[in-house]
This record gives sequence, structure tokens and C-alpha cells, in this order.
Amino acid sequence: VLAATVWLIFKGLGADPSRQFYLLFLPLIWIAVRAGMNGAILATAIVQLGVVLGIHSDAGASVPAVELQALLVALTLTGLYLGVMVDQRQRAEQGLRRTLRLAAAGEMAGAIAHEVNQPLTAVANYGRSVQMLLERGADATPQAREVVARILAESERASEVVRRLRDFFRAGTTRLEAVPASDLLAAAKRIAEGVVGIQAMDVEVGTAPEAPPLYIDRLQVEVILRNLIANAAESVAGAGVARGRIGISAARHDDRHLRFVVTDNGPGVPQRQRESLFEPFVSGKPTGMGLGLAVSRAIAEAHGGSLEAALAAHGEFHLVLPCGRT
Amino acid sequence: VRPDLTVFVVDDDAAVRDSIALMLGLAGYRTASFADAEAFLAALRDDWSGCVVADVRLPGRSGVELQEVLRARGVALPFVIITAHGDVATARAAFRSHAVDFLEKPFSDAQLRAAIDAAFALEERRVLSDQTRRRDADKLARLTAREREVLEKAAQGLHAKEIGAALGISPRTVEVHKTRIMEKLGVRNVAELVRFALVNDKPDAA
Repeated sequence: VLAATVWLIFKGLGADPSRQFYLLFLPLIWIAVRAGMNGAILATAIVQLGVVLGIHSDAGASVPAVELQALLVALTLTGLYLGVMVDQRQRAEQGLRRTLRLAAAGEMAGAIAHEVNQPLTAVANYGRSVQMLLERGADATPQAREVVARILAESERASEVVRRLRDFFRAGTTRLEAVPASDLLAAAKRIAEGVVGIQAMDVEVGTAPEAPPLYIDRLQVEVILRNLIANAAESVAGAGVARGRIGISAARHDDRHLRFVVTDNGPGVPQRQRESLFEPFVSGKPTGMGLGLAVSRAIAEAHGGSLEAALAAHGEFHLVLPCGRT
Repeated sequence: VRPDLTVFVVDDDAAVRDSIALMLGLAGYRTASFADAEAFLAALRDDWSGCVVADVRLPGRSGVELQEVLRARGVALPFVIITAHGDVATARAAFRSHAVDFLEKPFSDAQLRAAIDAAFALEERRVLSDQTRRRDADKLARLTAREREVLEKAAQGLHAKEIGAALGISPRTVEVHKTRIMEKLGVRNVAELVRFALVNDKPDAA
């Protein structure tokens, strides 16, 4: 494009090249905005080369060299300046994304420490027990063997924790892509069916035929859904209701966001726990590490959305995610 | 290891609970395990003695809250708080409710046993003073109303003559009462009598 423009200025339009010179700014600005500093440098180099060639042709001879040079300087400065600005903005964006990921990673590190500490404690206690049993001689060997089996089970549990957390990060950086809302609902249905398994529970997943596509990292948002659905299923299972029910639906939140609502007919979240619920390491469950909701909210917020527990006598969570305009 | 004291383990993690109980059991401690604060409170009896080893994070009431509930009920069982995620705020809350120790998981068996032994030492002193107080209260209950009055005056340092005048009885009768009181309380002299009266002055305030 640039070479063509340069040729156009000097040859095509004939007459006075300096008057059409300003046309060169347009492609240069475009290149600088798209490709940043490196693109701007390359583009100005091409322009310089073109201009030098142009001057040596007959058309350029009629233009004072000083005037051309001044124009070239202005052009080059504009291009470089734009390139620098664009680069800086990109770096800032990357930094922000990295900070968010670091925050999540910090939370993860804490979670790993907490969650691995439990089996580690058990392993240490069991290990000491085996030592004491061995000191008692051959009579205690069967019991010692049995305790060693428990040690192995606990170490397996610890590695399961590490595996689970590694899976969580498998997604790597947040990669936003357009995902149809119906795809996400289908994924929610699949996840819910997997979570509920053979338990007697109804899963109702709504439809969203009119909804615009979401701009999300699908893997990460599926982690949120899995968390919410697993929580709902546990809440219902522990509530002793006649027939458990989990509902997932999507609706418009505002013109840039969709709202996913996960409900269950369990007891819901007590008022005083509504906020602490999302703090890391606060768990209402015997086996929970209190991280699911903290990380889920961090992911939702990293997407420019939100995750809230609704005030209700049953379980209800609102997940708001960005989408395209209709 | 004291056979009359029990370690009450309250932890929601089945493996942690089981392994602590097993290890302490092998080391000669008597243990009882509970999955949460509610289960412990439901089973709790007044005559329990020993110490509680409770995890901070439990479903429902936390270990620290359990400790506060027991204190409010006047249960003095010493506490060892354990946690897989030690933070300053929890540790402070634990110690404010007079926890004997605050251990971060994973801890060594030596750390746990040291904490339990410290708690047991406290508990033994408490049980002992409880027993003495109960024995003293029993003895006091055997005194007649008149003997109590005499004891009260004697504890104030009054002589037989003064007591007699205050109660409108003869000094001789006061002496007779004093002898009977000393017999019933099992003290040998007036000094011990006065000390007994002072120690057991407010039996309800214990």
C-alpha cells in the first residue's frame, strides 16, 4: 500500500508531489496503530526509500529537497510516536492480565499449601504411629501394615490435590473468544449431568436463542459453572429435600452483559455468610478448601463480569459475563 | 500420660482426625474424636476432663468459636487449636480465649504431645483444686447453722468471748462449737480453721 501511495504521489498524480505528500500519513498511521513500533519503523523506512527514488526520478526534481525532508521528518515522527504509544498500551494490557493471573496464582499457592497440609498432617501422624507399632515387635505388624495403607491413601490424596490445581491452570492465559450462549448452556448441562451422576436430582437448563455471543475464555468459565453446579448439588444433597432440583438459565443483564443464574432448592446461603463466601479459605463444606468461589469470582471479574450470591431462601448464584451487542 | 484425662479431637478431616487419634492412642493417651463442634457439644458431659484439640476451620462453628461457647458455659477444658492455614487473626482469637497452644499443620508428634501435656498439666491442677473445693464444700455442709456463724466470726479473728457476746451465747459454748467445727472440718488448730474459712469464703465464685 505504502509503495503504491509513494508511486502515486510522484508519478500517478503528476504535477506537484509535495501537495499530495500528506496522503502518506494515512497508511502510515494505520500501520503504526496495527503493528506498533516495529511496523512504524519498517513503514517509515519504505517511505524514505520511495521518496529517495522519487527525488531521483524526474517528477521529484521539481520539488525543493528541504521541503520534502521536512515533510519526511514530520511523517517519521508521527509514525514512531504512534508506534511507541500503541506498544505501551499493549504492554500495560499484558501487565494487567499478568497481575490478575498472579493474584489467582497467589491464591492457588495458598490453596495448595492448605489443601496439601491436611493429608501431610495425616501422613506424619500415621508415620509416627507405624514407628511406634514397629517398636512393639511382630505382634503389631498387621496393624502397622494397615496404617501404611492409610499413608499411601493420604499421599494419593495429596497428589490428587496437586493434579486438580494443575488442571485448573491448564487453560494458561485468559483467551477470549466468541462463544454462543447456547454452547455455554450446553456445557453447563453436560457438567451438571456429570456432577449429579446417579443421584436423584432434576437438572433444568434454560435456552437462550436470542442471546448474542459471549466474549469469554470458555475453559475458565466452565470452571466457574462446575464450581457453582457442584456447590448446588452438594447443598441439595445435604438439605434432605424430597426431590433435588438444579436450574441453570441465561438472561440479558444489560446491553453488554448476559446473566447466568444457577439455582437449587437447597437451604441457600445464610445472610451473614454472603460476603465471606467469596473469601479464600472460607468454606461451608467439610471437605471444601474454600477456594472454588474465590477463584470463580476472580475469573468472572477478570472477564469484566461478576459473581454474586443472591438473597434468597434457596441457593441462587448470579454470574454476569460480557457479550457482544445485539 | 494420665489415664483419667482424655484428648478430645475435633477435626472435620476424617484422615487427620483418625491419624491423630491413632498416634495419641499408641502413645498411651485416651482419645475421643468428633467431626464438628456440634457433635462435640451434643456429647459433652460435665464430668469430662482432659483437653480439646480442635481445628480452626470446621463446618458450622469454628474451633475458636467452640472454645468461646465452652468458656461461656463455664467449661474449663483447656484447648489446643490446630490449623492448616495459620493466620495471625485466628491465632490471636485462640489465645484470647486462653488456648494453651496454636499449632500449624503439619505438626510433629512431639509438638502436639508437648501441647497436650501442657494442657493436661493445667487440667490436672484444675481437677485437683476442684476436688479439694468439693470436699471442703461437703465438710462445710455438715456444719450446723450455729457452727457456721461461729466459724464466720472466728475467721474474722474474734476471740471466744467476743463471739459469744456477738451471738448471745457463753464463751464456753463457743469453745465447744469451735472444737466440733475443727473435728468436722478435719483441721488441727485455729490457724488452719481460719485459712479454711478464708479459702472457702465464696464457694459459688469458683
